[in-house]
Amino acid sequence: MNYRQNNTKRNILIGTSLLVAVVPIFYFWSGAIYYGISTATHYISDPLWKAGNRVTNTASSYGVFFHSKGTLEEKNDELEREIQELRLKLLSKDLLLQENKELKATLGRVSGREVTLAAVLAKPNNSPYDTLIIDAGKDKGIEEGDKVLVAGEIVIGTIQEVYAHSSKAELYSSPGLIHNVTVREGTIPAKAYGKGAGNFEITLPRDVEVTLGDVVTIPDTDIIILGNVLHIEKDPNSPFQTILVKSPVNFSELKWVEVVTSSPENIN
Amino acid sequence: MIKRIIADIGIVLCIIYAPWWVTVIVGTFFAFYFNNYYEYIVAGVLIDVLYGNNGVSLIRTPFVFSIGSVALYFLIQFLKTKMRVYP
Repeated sequence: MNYRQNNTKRNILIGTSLLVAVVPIFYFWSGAIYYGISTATHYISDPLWKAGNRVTNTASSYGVFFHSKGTLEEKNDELEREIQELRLKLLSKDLLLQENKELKATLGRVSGREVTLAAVLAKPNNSPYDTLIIDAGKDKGIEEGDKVLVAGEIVIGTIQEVYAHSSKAELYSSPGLIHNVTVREGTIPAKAYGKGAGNFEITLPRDVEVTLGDVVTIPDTDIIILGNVLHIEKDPNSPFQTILVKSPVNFSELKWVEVVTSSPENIN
Repeated sequence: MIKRIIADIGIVLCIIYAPWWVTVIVGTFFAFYFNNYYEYIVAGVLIDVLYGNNGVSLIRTPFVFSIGSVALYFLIQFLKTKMRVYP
């Protein structure tokens, strides 16, 4: 019993002295300490993440052997139908994009976007902070503040820290982040508050007409989509309505992202 | 000693490949199982430096998990003194 009490006292003493020593150090130099340790740990963990990605890809390719022929045929038909639909949509989209570029060029608004493709090493599921780790760093010309896109026009975040061979991107949906956005084909300006895991919240006056599925974009010379309206909450007693926006990107299945490495008109 | 090294490798693999809450559960189990499991605090620091945002958090420090793991470590140590299964 005596031994146990002595042990507790000793632990409390160690704990208190550790706190007294560590708290001021963290308070004054937390940024520098953080970056130093972060760079070192990323140097070690990058090969592990890359090896993990390789193992997952190989395992998923072997998984095909266990599917039945019927299921594969069904899936194949479904995917072919989907490809046909998407081809048709893409055709009209390409024409519109071309027209859009020509109009901007006529008005002297050329965006000159350069994109670097990067593999996702760690997703928000691993990370408790709504961050992504990608396999492109200083070696690929990535810089802090570069935008991270999916499918060329869906923005998901910005580069926060750049290491030698990897970078950390903060998702736009990180809690506490606020973005200037436009709702309904750029007609209604608003502020989107990050709510985590690809979700955002927008508050607008009650009378503003918003429908489910409306596209929410980031003001830029290029079309940059943030998400779609998923839910609208209207309280009869409130003069405002709350709009919940969801990014169309499924972060748990995200494998590749595009980093915009140079864009002279990067707004936001 | 070998058990502890295996546990340490396991916790590092959890930090890199598993969801963060798995690391918390596994780390807490190891903190109860091993004596003075300081690796629990190291795991908290690793989660912060690998995935955290520098300075963007509710308490304005990038070391949220580090601080949390220190607090939990001492809480577990305290709980162990109150439990009969520990000599």
